Amino acid sequence: MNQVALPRPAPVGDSLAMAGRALKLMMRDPITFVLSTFFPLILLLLMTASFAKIVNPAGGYDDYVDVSLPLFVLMGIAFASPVTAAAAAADLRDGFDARIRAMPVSSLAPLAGRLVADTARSALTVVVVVAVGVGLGFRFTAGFWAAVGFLVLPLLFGLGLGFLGLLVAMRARDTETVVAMLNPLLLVGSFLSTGLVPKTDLPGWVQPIARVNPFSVLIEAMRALAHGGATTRPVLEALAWSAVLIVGCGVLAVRGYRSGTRPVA
Amino acid sequence: MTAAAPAATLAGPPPGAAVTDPRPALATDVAVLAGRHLRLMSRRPASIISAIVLPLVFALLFFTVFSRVMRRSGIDYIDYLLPAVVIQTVFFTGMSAAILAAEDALSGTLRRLRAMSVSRSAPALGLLAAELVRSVVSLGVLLAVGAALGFRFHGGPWKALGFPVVMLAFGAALVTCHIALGLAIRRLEAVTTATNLIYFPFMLLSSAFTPASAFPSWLRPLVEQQPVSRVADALRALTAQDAALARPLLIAGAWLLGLLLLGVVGATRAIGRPS
Amino acid sequence: MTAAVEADALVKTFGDIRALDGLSLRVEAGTILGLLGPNGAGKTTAINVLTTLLRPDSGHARVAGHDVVDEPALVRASIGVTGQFASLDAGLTPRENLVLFGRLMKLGRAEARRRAAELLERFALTEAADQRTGTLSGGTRRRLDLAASITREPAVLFLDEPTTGLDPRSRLALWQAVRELRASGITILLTTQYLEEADELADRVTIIDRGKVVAEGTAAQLKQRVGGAVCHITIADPTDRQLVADALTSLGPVSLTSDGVSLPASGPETLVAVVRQLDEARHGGLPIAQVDDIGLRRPTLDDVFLALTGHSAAPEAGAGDEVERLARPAAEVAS
Repeated sequence: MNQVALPRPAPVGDSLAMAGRALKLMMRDPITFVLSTFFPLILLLLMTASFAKIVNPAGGYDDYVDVSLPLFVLMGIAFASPVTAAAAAADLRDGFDARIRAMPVSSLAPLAGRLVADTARSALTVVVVVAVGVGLGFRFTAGFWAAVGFLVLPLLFGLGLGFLGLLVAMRARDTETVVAMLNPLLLVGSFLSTGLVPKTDLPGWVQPIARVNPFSVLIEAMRALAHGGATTRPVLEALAWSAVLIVGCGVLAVRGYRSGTRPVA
Repeated sequence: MTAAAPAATLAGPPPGAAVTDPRPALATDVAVLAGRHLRLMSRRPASIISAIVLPLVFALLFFTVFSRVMRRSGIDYIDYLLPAVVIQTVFFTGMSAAILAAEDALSGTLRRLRAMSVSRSAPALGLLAAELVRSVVSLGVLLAVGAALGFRFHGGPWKALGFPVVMLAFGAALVTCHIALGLAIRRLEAVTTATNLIYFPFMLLSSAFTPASAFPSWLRPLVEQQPVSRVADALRALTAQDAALARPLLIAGAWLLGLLLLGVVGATRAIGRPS
Repeated sequence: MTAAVEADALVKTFGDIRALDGLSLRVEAGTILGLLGPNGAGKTTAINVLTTLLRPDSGHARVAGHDVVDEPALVRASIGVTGQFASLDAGLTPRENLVLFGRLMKLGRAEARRRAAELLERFALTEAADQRTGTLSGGTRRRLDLAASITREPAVLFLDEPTTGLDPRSRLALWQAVRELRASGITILLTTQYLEEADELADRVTIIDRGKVVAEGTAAQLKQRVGGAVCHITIADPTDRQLVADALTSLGPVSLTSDGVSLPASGPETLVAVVRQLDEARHGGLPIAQVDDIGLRRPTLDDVFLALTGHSAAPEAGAGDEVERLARPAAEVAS
């Protein structure tokens, strides 16, 4: 007699299945797409139109795009993370994860799948925003591999922010609260950076904040990868920040997740 | 037909009592429904954040990041920025109104109110009143923080009194349009998307955050003429020391009247549709 | 007797759908009328017309003595409506919800508060009175909904599928509340998909299908129209049901039901005939696995429905839901 093969968790396959689910849900939810793709584009176009001449009266609009594009790429990625976190919180609240936990499925697959889907969407955002940026005058002048680095670096940072979002979702478990907590944080992070105006044009008390702000660190690294100059140090700093977010928030999120979905005794 | 209810057997207020008083009292209905919305809002942390915290965060961030470069262009940014943030607050108020209107249509609340002795326009007016109260609270917070950062009414107390009046007029027009939008669309995600698609271009392609002269020359006419810029002009005329008042107020007034009409017509049509 | 609700030849079309196709009905004052029909039969449209939410294309209706088209304000002042979707604010407490309704029905502030307390007591809601409505169970929320609709006692109360989605115990509690309302003299028009519910509550039943009345009477009268007793054979396996139905065709018109087969019975002799027939079939090699029960019973409203409309009253998957159909124009505008 043949014995029925016991289904066993397959971490990679399960995560991809979860990623497929998350992507499908994402496609069917137009806001997420509008937020992740149009939002940074609208900001890029409108902020450039209104602030380019104020920030640098001598330069053209294309010069402003050349320095500000990294910030808008990052904002596009960053502001999608509350949406992902809200979806994760909704799943937790509705018992989806607890149900998965009771199945022969790798227990971290829902988290991993979500982050894979998130990264795929972020990649699309990066490509679209950079393409429009190039149309408006953004130039890569530091070679092919540096340009590749410019495209990949924000995805790593996005993964870190994704973990941060999940961590908040584990704690809050209420979609409105999750969004309400993350949005102001990301807004402050992206504005109090060197993305919109040069560091020297920020008020004195903000300058040290802007220096260590991960958004600025990423922006400086991306600028170096696009335009050349001293590249190693800024890129290492950016990698370090991304690693800190991924490992730090990742460990805490996974720990919170495991205890949160433990089958009820 | 001489049908009548058997009033004699009833406990509580007899049904006959209701029939003698069928005329809805608009003022009471609006007040009661506004109270309902305010109470519900005060229990939603997200609504408090979008009404008070977000406008404040925006104001502080724009002020912090851009005040130096603005000063280089000869602009005292806090005086310039405050009207912009007030306008932004009104937009957030409108977004909230659109969502709440759509929620009431979706949940069956509107349907139920229409089958009761409640004035037909009271649900929309009640929501409008509640949102205006909320925006006045936001204005108070913004003015207090603005004052701490150096904002002043340079035109004296009379012009200063005009400031909240213009803001409320803008609020009434914009919120009415948003209520019409919420009632017409009745799908929450579509409402969110639609309101954002209105907000970003109108807000950022205006002279609210930066003077029109900073925009590319081909955009400038559009930026100068559009209603958000015109309302910003009116608000700034009321805070400046010796600006001409009549012209900006008239132009803004004309725009707001048009917007209000649009909103009233839209809301009237949308509210009459069967749910 | 006088009529508290009287509808005469109501017609309402949406596009090319005739939601109401000459509907006439009558509810005597102080009684409960059960309005039955499958999804899409026109129940919700009928309620919408009678509660002044929709204007009929033609026909007349009077509610509590007032014409729904000419005197909508007087009608609204005389009715209470409870929807399928309990439309009370989840963010308010039951007490606040009731005070809100009292204020909207023009009770003074103190009077509204007094009335809310009274209703909370009467509908066994005092314990839940000051919790958020959103945290309450479905049954509790429906009771609250019912309480809200009689804040100012109406002459006529419309209950649109009041127990859809409730568990059996909550349903019993709600039924009890409805009976008490009738006892206090309120006329009730109740729509439902549960025939059992109409059987329990309604003094008279009107069955509609495709916007028209197909039968009217007391539940007992309607059952009589189907004839005497029914022989029902309960069979768990659907394949077996078909086999049994085939084996019994010689005894009369056999119909398949959700849990077995049934056929008209003339008396206990039908039972004997059925057992004999099944036994023969089995000996003849028919692989009938399991008959769970054979019995005689009085016809239910389900049988009535089946006989009158040719389809079951149970909600079918994919059947055009009326509410959905009404909501569709809104969705089209948006997209």
